Amino acid sequence: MPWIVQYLWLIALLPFAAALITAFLKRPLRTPAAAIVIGAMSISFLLSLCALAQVLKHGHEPQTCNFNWFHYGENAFVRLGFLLDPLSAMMLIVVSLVSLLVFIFSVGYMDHDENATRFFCFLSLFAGSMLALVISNSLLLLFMSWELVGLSSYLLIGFWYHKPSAAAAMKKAFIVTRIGDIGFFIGILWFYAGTGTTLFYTDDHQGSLEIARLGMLGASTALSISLLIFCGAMGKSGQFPLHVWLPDAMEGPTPVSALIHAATMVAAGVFLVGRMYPLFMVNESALHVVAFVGAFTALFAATIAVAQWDIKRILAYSTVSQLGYMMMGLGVGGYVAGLFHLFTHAFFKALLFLGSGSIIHACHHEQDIRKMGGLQAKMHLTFVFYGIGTLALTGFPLFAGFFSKDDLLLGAWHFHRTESWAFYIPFVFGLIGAAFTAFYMTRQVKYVFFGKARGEGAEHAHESGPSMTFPLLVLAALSVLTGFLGFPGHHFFHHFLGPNTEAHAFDGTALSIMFGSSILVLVAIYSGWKVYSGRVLEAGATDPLEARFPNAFRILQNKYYVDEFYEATVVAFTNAFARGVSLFDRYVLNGLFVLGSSMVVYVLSLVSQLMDDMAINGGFDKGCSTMRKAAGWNRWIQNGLSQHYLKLTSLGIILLFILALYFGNR
Amino acid sequence: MNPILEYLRNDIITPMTFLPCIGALLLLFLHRSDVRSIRLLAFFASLSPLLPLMRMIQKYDSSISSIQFSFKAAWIPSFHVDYFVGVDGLSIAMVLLVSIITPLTILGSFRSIGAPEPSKAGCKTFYTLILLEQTGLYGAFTALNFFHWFIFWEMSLVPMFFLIKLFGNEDRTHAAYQFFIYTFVGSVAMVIGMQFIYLATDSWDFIDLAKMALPTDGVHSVLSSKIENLAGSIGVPFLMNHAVTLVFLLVFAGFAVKVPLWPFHTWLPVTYTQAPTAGSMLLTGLMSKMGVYGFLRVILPLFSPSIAAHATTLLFLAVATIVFGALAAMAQRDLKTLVAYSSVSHLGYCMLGVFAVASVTGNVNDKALALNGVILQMFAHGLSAAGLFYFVGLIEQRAQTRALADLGGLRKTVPVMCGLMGVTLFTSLGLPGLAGFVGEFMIFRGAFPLQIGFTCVAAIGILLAALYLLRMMKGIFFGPQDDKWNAMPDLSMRERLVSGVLVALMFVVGIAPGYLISLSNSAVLELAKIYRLVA
Repeated sequence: MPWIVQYLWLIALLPFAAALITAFLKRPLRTPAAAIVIGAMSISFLLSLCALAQVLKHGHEPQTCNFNWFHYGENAFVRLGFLLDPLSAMMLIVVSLVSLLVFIFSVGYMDHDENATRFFCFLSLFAGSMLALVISNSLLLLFMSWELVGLSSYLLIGFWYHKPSAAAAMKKAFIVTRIGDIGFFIGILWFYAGTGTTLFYTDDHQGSLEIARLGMLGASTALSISLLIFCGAMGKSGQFPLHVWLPDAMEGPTPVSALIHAATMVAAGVFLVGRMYPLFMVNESALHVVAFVGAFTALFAATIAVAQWDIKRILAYSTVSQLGYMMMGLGVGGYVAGLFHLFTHAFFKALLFLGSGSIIHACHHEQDIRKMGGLQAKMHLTFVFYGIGTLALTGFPLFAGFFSKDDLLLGAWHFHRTESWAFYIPFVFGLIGAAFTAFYMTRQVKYVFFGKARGEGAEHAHESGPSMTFPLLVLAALSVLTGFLGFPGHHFFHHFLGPNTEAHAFDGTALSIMFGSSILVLVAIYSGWKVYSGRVLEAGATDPLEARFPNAFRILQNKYYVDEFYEATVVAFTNAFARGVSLFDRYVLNGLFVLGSSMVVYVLSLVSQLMDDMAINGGFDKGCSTMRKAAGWNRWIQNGLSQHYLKLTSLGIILLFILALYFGNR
Repeated sequence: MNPILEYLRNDIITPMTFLPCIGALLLLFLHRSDVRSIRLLAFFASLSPLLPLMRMIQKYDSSISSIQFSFKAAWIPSFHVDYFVGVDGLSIAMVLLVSIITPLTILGSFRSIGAPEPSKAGCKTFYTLILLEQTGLYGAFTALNFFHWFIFWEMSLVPMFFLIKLFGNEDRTHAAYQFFIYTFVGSVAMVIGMQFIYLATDSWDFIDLAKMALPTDGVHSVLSSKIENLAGSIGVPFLMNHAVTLVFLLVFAGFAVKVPLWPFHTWLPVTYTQAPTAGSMLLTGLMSKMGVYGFLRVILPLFSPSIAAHATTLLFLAVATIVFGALAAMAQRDLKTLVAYSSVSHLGYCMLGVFAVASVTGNVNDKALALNGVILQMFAHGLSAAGLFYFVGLIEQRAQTRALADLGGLRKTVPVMCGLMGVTLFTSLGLPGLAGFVGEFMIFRGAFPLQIGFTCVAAIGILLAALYLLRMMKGIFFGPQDDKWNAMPDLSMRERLVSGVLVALMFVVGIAPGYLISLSNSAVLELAKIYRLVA
């Protein structure tokens, strides 16, 4: 076993250890805390590079390092383990690199926060759990890390816990994802019970998922398990209808949004589907569900983003939408395409979020794009990097998003079947969603960077320091370069990740889809540019879309009222049910039955007391008085006077004499 | 050899059981105003059983399923009553838990012993009661002859009654009586049931009875035929036909009230809320385990056919305990009542495991996993629930309120408490890496192949737990903070020690549960094997 496989766990352990150490540091020790956390993360990143090198050098065979967690029953074990294969190597690079950059960015961003020490502790906890998630060779260990990333997300969303909105958002995020996790948990139980293991690859490198595919589980069981596991993925990756927590999660500090709620954690759901892909493939219906949920989410969230004002919320809905694209990619059968988009998206979305962090930091924590404007002149670097991120996200030719989105659309095109037109839906939704994406990103860029400053913060804005611009630079470079890993025709990424799968040929169809979608994106950018220019960008102007379509705009602005719908149905029902159960407990179970029966006992005891008084006591008293009378007679005999006793004694002697005389002569 | 040494070689358990009791006697010699010495003596007296316990752990052989360290002496020979103690995999974790939680409870209540805080004079009574309670608990977890066991079972009620009655909150008298009488009614039912068994078999011995109860053909056993014979001699047809079931129901009632199983749980929220902090910690951390332990020690071995025959009903009750307990917790405004209901819900998982194992024939390993999980869950819940009550007590002591609505934003002023209580809450919530998850996972994983439907419904409880526990976390620590809490002191060193030990154990059990599982596995496997033949 190569040393890197044997010590793979170190990659996850180092950030955990850093989190543990910083947990004991006091508030003023922010610099040591940052140093420890960044140091640990750098080593993890270097180890991840070694892991990648190992995979590149020695091929694609999964390499595992398994161990017994505990033993039970008759020689039964719960086994966990770590796994190095192309997928985990890729995720290791994404997670450790973005984490490292975000940590460095945070040094500048959290400069003035009194709790910065704790912030680094939580970030490191997150990084450790996320790294453990991607290298786990066991569904159970994956679930455990999965819950831990949920915890760190909870802690970081609520980092500014004194804000009521943050306190509400952290709770919402944990609970909504946990709804999905219940499905995931049951899926694991079922999978475990069905196959007898949670390992992806056993010690002899046999894939349990492939075995499951071969028929250990029936096709319908495999479908059920896949869908249950997909529930978990939907919760984590913000797929409709469990997407509601992700936009609210923007209450956390911006580096958190970049790392957790854009680049890594929310992609864990996509990763999970990718990891469980062999199981999903057993029954095609599972993949169809993934495709349709993904496509719907992609379009649904993209439309909402058009009508938002908060710079981070726009990006949040954009994230939901892009996650939908990834899911759609996996669902339409493009295993590599979905994960390739995950890979590129991680960098350009982290770039956008960190860029927005730089903007927010410069504007004194102003997040409303209506109060920004004109930042292009004041923040040159941020503008350039943000622009690159935007172009990558919109799918502008030759930027990273262009290649990955093109892969997705090509996959979606090949998804169509002769039997039903419905199989065109992912492709059509994907295309419309791409247009919306280009439109809302142009809108945002225009509002933020062009026109005149419309707010106090924007007027005094200035470029951020090097600890913040350096990560932006690295991410911007990656947002341009990573796309070329998937250059059509010579698809390096495809050979790396899915050597056994067939890539779609780069033929005329592919070229025309690429061409067509590019035209569409350019038109959307152009129209966005035209709509949001001139007087629209002056202070107090209404959004031209709002002026033109007020009703539709309001619906979009209120996110299709999904939150309100949940509040009125699920939440209200659960609360009412809970109150009902509590009242039932107090008044029926405890009141009626317990106290009722004790009342019955009490009444019975009253009755029996009456019985005692009248019947039993009556008889007893009579007996007593008879005895007293008898005692009265006795008292006359025993009155304590010696002359009286002598009198009686002499009387007795005389009596005895008489008797003796009478009987003695016989 | 010295006869005392000779005796100590044979019997570790009796000294362990009575050491706290001796400590309580020694307390009598201290003057009641000497509070400092009283506290220290009480603490070390409750800690002293750790010495024999450590020897026991060291010598314990986890590969044996039978009773170890047993000590048996005839007590009342004409009634077949023996003094009979011993531990096996079912009880050793509980003995361990008693030895951990009780000293921490005493240490935790050094400063404040109860809500009305009667003059310091109350101290002596207070610690005496806790030490007596500890002896009662050791006895209840180690005695193996019904008569002997029952004395301790009831003995643990008495100190608790007085703890609540003398040191409890506003409504303490009502709570103390309801607690005592409700559980006592259950005990009476159990005694009647066990009397019947004794009359039929001439034995009080749990181990003997378990051997008699080994099913010969799925439904019948020596025990059941003896019970039927005795019932037959009475001559009432109804009794004859249902004798085994009736005896089962009587014994079941005693344990069901104690656990408690829905709908016999209503004494619990009242009692836990009104008890002083130390009382709640002992009640939830240790006494609630007596009921589950009773199911493992008595119900599962003795009544295998009956429990299998009523499995659907029982599983329904277990799931109702989980779900309704959690829902009721969601609706509470009083912190203590909330934690009390969460305790109900969490013990429901144990019952789910027990009943699922008994309900169908299935893989022995699945069953062993579920039962191991039950014991681990008891241990984990003992740590987390006692911890939660401790923290709620600390908050109450500082804020003079238990209402969730009055608190908020406390993380700012008491960050250490927030961190430690946060870990405890997440243990209770079943977060991986902490003790609660392992128990829940094992129970669910073991029960799933046996009872898919019930297990899936029970999983709702996991979600509901997140709802009420996070609501609690948010209500206490997050959101804007009222200025009146600005001067609230954070945890003192002593308080950090108490909660730190609990939290450390939660991590240890959560990350490396293997040792605890190995303690219980052999005995549990034996128990699981009984159910190969039933149903």
